[in-house]
Amino acid sequence: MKKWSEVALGVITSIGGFLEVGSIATSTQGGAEFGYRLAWVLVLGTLSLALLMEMTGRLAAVSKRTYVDLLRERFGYRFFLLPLVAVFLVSFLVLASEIGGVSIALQMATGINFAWWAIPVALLGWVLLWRGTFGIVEKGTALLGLVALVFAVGALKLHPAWPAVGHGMLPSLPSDNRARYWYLAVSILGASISPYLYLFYSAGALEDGWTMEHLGVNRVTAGLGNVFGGGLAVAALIAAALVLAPREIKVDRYEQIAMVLASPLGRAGFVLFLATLCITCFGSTLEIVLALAYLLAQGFGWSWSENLKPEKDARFATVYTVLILLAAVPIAIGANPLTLTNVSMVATAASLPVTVIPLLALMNDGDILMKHVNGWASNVALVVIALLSVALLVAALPLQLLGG
Amino acid sequence: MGAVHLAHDVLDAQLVDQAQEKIGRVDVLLLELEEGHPPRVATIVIGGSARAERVGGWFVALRRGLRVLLGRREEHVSRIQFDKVRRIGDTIELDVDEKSLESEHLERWLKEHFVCRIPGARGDQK
Amino acid sequence: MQAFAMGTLRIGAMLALALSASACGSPPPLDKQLEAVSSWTATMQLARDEHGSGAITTTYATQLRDAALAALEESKQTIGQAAHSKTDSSYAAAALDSLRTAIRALNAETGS
Repeated sequence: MKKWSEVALGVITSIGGFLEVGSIATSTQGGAEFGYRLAWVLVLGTLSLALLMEMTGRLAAVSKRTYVDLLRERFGYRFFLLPLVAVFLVSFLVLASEIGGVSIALQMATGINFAWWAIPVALLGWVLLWRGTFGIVEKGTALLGLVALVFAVGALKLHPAWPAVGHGMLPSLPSDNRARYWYLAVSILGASISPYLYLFYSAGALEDGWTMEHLGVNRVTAGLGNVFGGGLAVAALIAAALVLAPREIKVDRYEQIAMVLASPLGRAGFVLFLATLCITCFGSTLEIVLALAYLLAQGFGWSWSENLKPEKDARFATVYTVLILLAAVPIAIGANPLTLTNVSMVATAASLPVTVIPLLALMNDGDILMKHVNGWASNVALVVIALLSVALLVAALPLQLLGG
Repeated sequence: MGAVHLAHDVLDAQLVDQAQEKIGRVDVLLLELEEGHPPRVATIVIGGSARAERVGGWFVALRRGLRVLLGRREEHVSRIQFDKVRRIGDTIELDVDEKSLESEHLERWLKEHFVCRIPGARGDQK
Repeated sequence: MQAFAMGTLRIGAMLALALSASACGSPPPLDKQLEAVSSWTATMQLARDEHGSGAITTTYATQLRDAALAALEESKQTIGQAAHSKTDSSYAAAALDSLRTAIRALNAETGS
């Protein structure tokens, strides 16, 4: 019985954690400009993320060490600096974007400019981190994040032509605007496969005290949770394809995205859209700050746990305190949240090789995983994701210039 | 356990003190060379300056530059004799107390000057 | 490994440089600008409809209008440089006019 509640909670957490500023922005941009044709990228991103999360969760459950621990221990300090710096920089950008997402939602609700909201949002987040436990941060925001299900309702209400949606799930090439198409494809992948997600997930496995017994929970959580979460991102894309694309509205500003739900669902859709943007971005803000604090603490061997009082892990607590306030600065001085989001998503996509490729070695290390090493199917999938990550690194800069 | 790989199992491993508190990682392992004796593993070093040397000269210079900018001169490095090792497993347990370690200076400083001045910081578990 | 790390740093520096270059480059070509203007025109029309049916608040509609006004101002500055012929210029003028009309219609709807 306890197992089942753990599975249910885990799945809900992944659903609630999937949709955030990046996936809301890039899915609706994709739908507005290319209809259903980018849906396959969401499928690819979701499956990749599910696999990466299952693997990092398995590493943690079997070895009692986080992915960051193992990156440092197995590859040494010199190599470790590379993922450390890359993940730190891109996650910080994404963090600033999430704070931007919360702020813009509050602006849409109140009319008070988003820049004024950044610092109060950061302070509220900090109070939750300072006082709250891991369970509160993870489960609390995830449960509230279920409000994102409104995207599914909105998409269904618009009566999409399902065969056309199905067709969009298969890769296709656009006849024109290729640079923009691939730019959005890279952004969508960056929004789906964020390193902070699996760093947070693998640290969470230790915070929740996972053991070998949890391998089943891990598989279902990573698999089902992400498939449902990815389904909501597809719903956002469908809604944008049916509300914005026919009117040839391109998403230049976050403000335009609310129409995607206001149009099919009226005032309720509008309000729930604002709630979704606000809550999911706030949840992601907390997750990313913690992921960054975990990254440094685990990399350098400091004491860490969100369940300890701050005096027991002073460096860990200082890191999240400083970072959440620092990340509010770009938004507080008026940086455009949508531009920031798009740049962050492309940078994230470009950063993937340094966290994906080392997994190939770790997932086949019998010293760490014993009989739970990857099977051939997982290895083939991981090699494909690794190749994809290298392609993203190579393509990111030219596409930012041509299609951004 | 029979033999232990120094590079694989000891270098970069998580260190804990007598009370199982995390106290950094094995940043550097030193061999002791003494006239008339064979070399032996003698010292575990914990500290940023020791770590930096493993990366290369450019990194040491970069780090030094940053520290001058921040006005931080003192290096806080711990050198611990290998015979303080109590257990080698998932983590390495040392027969030391974190309060006496130079490398935990920053943790103590932040705790005293920053963290504990904010309400709600004190205690064990949340 | 050091060469690898340096290479990564170099790529990072180039990325930063290119991003800043792309942010302050020349104005986009005319067709892109016309698309952007008509996108805002359509946004205004949709906002008017949705405000009429009570789906969106006046506070929010006003923000959308302000964003459209900002886009209009920006286009007025740059669209002239991108229009190279008489036909181009008349297209541009017509697009800007429809945006103005759509903004006025939304203003009338929200009573501002």
